[in-house]
Amino acid sequence: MSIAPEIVTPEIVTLQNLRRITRERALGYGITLILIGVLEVLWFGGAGSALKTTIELGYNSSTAMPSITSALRVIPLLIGLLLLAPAVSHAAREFIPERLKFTKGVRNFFIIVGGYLVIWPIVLWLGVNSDGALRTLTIPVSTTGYVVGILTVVAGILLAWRRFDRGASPLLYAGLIVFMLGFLVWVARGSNVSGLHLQLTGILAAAVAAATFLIFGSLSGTLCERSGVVNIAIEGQFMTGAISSVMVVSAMNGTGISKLLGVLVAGILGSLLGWVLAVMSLRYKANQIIVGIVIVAFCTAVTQFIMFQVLDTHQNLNGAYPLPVWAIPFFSHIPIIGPILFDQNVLVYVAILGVVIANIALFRTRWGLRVRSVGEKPIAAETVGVSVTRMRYGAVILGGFVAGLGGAAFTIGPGTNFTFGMTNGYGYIALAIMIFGRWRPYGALMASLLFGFTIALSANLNIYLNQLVIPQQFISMLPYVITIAAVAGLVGRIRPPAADGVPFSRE
Amino acid sequence: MTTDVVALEPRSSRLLQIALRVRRANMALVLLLALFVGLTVGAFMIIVTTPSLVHSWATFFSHPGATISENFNAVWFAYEQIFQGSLFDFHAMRILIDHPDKANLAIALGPISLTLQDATPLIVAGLGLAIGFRSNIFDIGGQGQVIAGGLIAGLIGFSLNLTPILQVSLELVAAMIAGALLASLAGVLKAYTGAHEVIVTMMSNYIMVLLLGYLLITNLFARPGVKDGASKAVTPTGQLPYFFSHLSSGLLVNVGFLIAFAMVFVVQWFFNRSKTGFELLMVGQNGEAARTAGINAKRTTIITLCLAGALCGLAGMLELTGVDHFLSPNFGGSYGFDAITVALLGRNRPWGVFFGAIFFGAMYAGGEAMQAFTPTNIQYSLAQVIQAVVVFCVATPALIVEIFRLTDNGRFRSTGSAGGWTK
Repeated sequence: MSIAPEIVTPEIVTLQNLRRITRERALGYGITLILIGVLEVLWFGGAGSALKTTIELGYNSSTAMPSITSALRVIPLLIGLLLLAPAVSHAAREFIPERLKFTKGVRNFFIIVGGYLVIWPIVLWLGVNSDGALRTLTIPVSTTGYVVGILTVVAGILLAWRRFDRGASPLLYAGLIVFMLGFLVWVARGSNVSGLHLQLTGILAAAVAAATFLIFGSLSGTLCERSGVVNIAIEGQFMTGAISSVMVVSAMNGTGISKLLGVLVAGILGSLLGWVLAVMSLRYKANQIIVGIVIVAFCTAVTQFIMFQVLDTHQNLNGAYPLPVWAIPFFSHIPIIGPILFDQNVLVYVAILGVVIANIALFRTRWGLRVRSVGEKPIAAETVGVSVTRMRYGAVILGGFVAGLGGAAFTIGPGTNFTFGMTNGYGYIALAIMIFGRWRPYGALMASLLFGFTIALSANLNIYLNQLVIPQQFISMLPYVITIAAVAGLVGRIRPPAADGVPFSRE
Repeated sequence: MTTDVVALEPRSSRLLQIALRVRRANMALVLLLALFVGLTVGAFMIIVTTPSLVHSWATFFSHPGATISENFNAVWFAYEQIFQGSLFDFHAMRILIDHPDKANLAIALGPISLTLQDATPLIVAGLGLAIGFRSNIFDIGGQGQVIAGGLIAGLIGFSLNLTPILQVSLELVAAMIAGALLASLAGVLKAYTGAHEVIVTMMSNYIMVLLLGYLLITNLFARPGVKDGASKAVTPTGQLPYFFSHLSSGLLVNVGFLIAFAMVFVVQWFFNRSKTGFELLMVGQNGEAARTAGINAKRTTIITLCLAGALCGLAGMLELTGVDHFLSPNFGGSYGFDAITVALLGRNRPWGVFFGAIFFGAMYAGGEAMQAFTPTNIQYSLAQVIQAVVVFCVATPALIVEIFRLTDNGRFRSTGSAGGWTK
């Protein structure tokens, strides 16, 4: 044990240093990709050669894919290639008029739209069976494993050899996503015989549904912590929102206005809990983590009591009334992505819109600047005349409202009954997501989608249990293990708001 | 700050002096008022959720007396059941005084025995979490650690058949090690990567519940041929013996309570006399100062979580070998979470935790009695609502001071930093 305090010399960031760091990272990512590719070849490619997987590309007649005759499929392919070309090669960029500025955002947009237009006809050519709305695609498992594995190895070798600085992270993420898809194909092997199709679109839609409450939760955490208050009570706000919204809607027999009211009540109760947290931590300067834990304990007890005392005897107060599902015209017909993103209930759109609004509010408005300054250096904010306490009250109450909406996304969003324990620790996972998303709304959105996918996966893999050697419980552990890994792998390297969790006093 | 008001006004009347003294905040008064607030909230919950009581308010303006007495009686009856189910059943007491014999004594002691039995794991787990809280480590993974201890104790309990003292001590040590290992995961991650222990321990709870569910259907734990989720039973040599079993088989308090009682002294000694305990307290009160004084923060973090986990594991072992005797998918119940609130209720002091746990045990036992005997079967979770409110008030005593306009000299204006997510 040394007596002297640890002195950490910060590494001086020079251009050489930065380049060295990124090049080392590229090497590491490349080797990881090669390993993933080899694993794919050995694991998925090793499956019996006769085994095939049938993937469901749609699941709902309202979003059935429009069928295109073979000859016309060339049109989207050509348009896609035209869009992709300038984004990929410098030579093609010569043909673009000078006036059109080719910024990073435009480039990304071109890549996404063009890539999509290219993939769609290829998918159709591979052979889509048109059985009703399901539109299935049957592919051989081991060939897929070989193709995907070899592509991943090639990408890894290229990355390790050429050491791209900027392409490293996207390539690694793409490799991981491809690995997950390959895994899904492998899990559902033989499904063209057994009839247990791989419900790819269903799983992804469930992922977005699961991501909805995570988006609300992590957005709430982001708002609170940007202002310097740790909100561990999200789990309690989830529970309260879930039970109150379902009770309000059921009491009014699920009329249109009752659903709006149910969502609002969930939000208002959430913000009430946020207000309690704010009073305790701002006025009485209590330890925010303790207050949060106690609020969760209180919400658990109260929801449990109401569940068993009231809802068990009055079943009609716990009905299943889903929020309206809005299928956005045209967009909802896009294969795979359509039903996932553009055929969801209203709360999903509210969540995504909330992320956009929160991002603008936090980083583009005066209010956001004040919130962030209060969370970083409250004494400086107070000196220039910003009331720290008032800003924090506002942020925590708003955060509570958002978390309450997340509670509504558990029950009346998909239209399920309230069951005790349905929040399942997702309030805490939302906090991990907030960290994973680096206290930014867009980061929270992306991380929520990732975690939503693992949750949907762990819920949907159960039907393939006989294909897997892993017991069901271990699959259900997936979101929790990934949360620990994410928190452990990231926290040391990213910086929270400086005054996060520190009570403020003027003296 | 306001100084002693009584001293400022020496010539005020004696009555006023007493009144002012009563208003001065101290812990006992805060506890009493917290209990009062908790019972009030509980009463409100009872009234709101009982249809006949809600309807009685329709006639409030025509017959206010009838409404109030009806509500009061219903609430009073429920609370009476809690009291009788957890401490003294007056009826049984009177029978005991009239006919003092063994059987009647056993009946009269029944409720207290149930309370102590329920309190035993809470005392130990609460002490463990209190160790963490004292050094600003929020181990909320009590449930997972209780399960870890229970699993290992169960494995030793039903697979071995040694002399009782050897087997029980083996279970005890193994359970403590299991809990400590699980908690040390959070400790190591916090010390070396900065992962916040609240998230890691919370996630480990869910992981342990799933692991328990899996293990119970494996051949290692399940009874031969029966895979219904219940494990083999601990052999009689591995069980903790009951006290007073010569009086009646209904008296449930067992040797585990003695172990828990001993742990109170051990933890007391740990904080007051040991070097490590001193270091933990120092880190908890001022981490920066502790580091300057040469205390290794990483080591302290890991040790704290290990100790907390060890005690939670011990709680699991006491619950399994003293009460349940076999594992089931919901083994441990809510002990892990209630231990958090017990530690807060006891303000992280060993004796505070002890009495806090007994209060919780009483609420468990009384809550069950209330559910069984009240006409509308008021749910047992009402007791948990009352507990949560009481803990809320005790954790933030400034609230009680404010609500009841007590005078205090700044003692109860606690300031604590949650510290964010960094190391």
